[in-house]
Amino acid sequence: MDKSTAKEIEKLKKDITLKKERIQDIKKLANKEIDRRFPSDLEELSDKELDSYLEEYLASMDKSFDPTPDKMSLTSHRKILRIPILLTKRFLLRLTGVYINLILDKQKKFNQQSIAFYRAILLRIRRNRRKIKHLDQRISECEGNLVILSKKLEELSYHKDSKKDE
Amino acid sequence: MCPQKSETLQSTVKNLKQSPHAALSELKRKIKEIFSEQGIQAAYNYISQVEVMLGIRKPRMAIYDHAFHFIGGAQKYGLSLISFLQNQFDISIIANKEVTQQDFLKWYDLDLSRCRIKCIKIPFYEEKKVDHLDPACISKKTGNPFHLISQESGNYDIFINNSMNEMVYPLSNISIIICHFPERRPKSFFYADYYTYVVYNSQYTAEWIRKKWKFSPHRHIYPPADMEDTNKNAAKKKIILSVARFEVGGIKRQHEMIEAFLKLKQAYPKITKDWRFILAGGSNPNNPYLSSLRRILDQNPNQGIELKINATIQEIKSLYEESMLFWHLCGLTHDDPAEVEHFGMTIVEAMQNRMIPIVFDGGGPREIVAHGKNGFRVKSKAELIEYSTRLITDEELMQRLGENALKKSQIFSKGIFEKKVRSFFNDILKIYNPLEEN
Repeated sequence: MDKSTAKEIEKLKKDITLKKERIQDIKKLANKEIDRRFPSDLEELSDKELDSYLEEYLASMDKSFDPTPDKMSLTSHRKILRIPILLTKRFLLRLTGVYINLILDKQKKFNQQSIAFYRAILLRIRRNRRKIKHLDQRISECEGNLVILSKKLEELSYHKDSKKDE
Repeated sequence: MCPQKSETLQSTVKNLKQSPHAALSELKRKIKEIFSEQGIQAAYNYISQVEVMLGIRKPRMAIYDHAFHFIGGAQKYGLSLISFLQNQFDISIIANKEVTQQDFLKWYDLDLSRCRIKCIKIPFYEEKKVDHLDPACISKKTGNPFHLISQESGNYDIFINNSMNEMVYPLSNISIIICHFPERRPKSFFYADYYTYVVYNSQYTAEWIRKKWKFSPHRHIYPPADMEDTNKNAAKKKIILSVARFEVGGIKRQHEMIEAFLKLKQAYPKITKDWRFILAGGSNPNNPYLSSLRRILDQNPNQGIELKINATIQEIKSLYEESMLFWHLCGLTHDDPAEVEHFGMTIVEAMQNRMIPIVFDGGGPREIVAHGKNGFRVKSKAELIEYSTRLITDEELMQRLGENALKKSQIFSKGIFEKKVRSFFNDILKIYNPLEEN
């Protein structure tokens, strides 16, 4: 291949490289949506994975146990009417708040109790697992001793037999 | 991203060689078309492939590992792999912390002088001032700091991701992820299935890739073991050896092995009188697990148990040459499949030195040790004691199993690894550059 073609190709590559370097977004470079959602199948998780799954879930429950709406939860996507709509929503919220909060307070209490209940169960599971581990260790010790005992027994019967032969 | 296999690419390259003027405008038109349909990266990849097919340059390859600055089996695997490809490819080693070719020479005895090292620091971890870049702390909230590497991957013909980090999206023409074990399940920023090839180190790893990632990996290459016994006439001593990292979580089960040895000594004081147990392995300073082991040794003095922390390769080599039995209990009473040995490189190294392995019956060691033929696989400390006494009291059995172990270890030699690596990359080159006669 001649030199001028190689130079042309080099120039072409340089142009593309410059354009490419300007793009930071990986999705744009890949030219497709790259992130996906992966549902988790609880049945498949190991004990360790289940532990962190439970911790994660309890932490997010801790953050969202209070369903009472605040000012920040009121939004409007309209450009011009945004402010009057928000003011109206706030007014309605204040007006109905007394009655709604009666129900939401009950819900909040129930949520708090549920979280406490889950935490207690988790604690119980962990304690039980520690107990099982401890029992496993003891069984393993007993098995070790059993192996040694049976070997010793073998030796003893061997000595007994050889004495008889004498 | 995928390399172009079309006939048109081949004919464009052939035309560029024969009548370049007409072919150049055809190339420009094609690139414009790819740019508008598939984006700028695809256009870049197309012209990169043309360059290689025209012989303008060697294919560019990059290998990435977020833990290249640490000594580790996985890192040794990746670097051994590229050490055989230095003539065929223009190779870059991408690390996230400063590391040099001299480090690799010292740690793994690998000459990588023809590769260049590129250090790309990740601001997210730099701000935290941590040495260990833990991918587990990345979530949707934090965003994906590894996209810096994803972007870099687009500058190469072949990109190899050697780290246990599936958060790097591959943009190169050909991409390979070497899976040492699928530690995480698919969740935010999981891209392993976007890679052209998934290479795995053992059947155990493959089984868990299928279970956790829900797809089948492509190429199986066992890690290379290079501890062949150079001093074949060296007399063996009555030593039981364990070579494994002193992990903070104790997953290598050194504690359990010490307990088993103490029991062995206590039960059979006569036959185990001259036997010693040496535990070698790397450790970070201030390791609480290691301190707990030291406490046990202090409570049981004169039992013939020694710890060799961060021993040099030469020291380890002579320990392998001198010792008779090899214990490895990683995986015993595990809570997670990741806690079982994924392959068991040190077991093979021991077998290369005619040592008889007694290992936990699970994970990668099942592919190495055939029970009763070249070692024993055990499920408990009791079985470890049982098989050890059997071997200690039967010299002939020890001799026979040692020879068989040596034979089996040859499957995992560096030579076989090299052959498999070369064949894999020749296959890749045949696809990437079909015009070149291999």
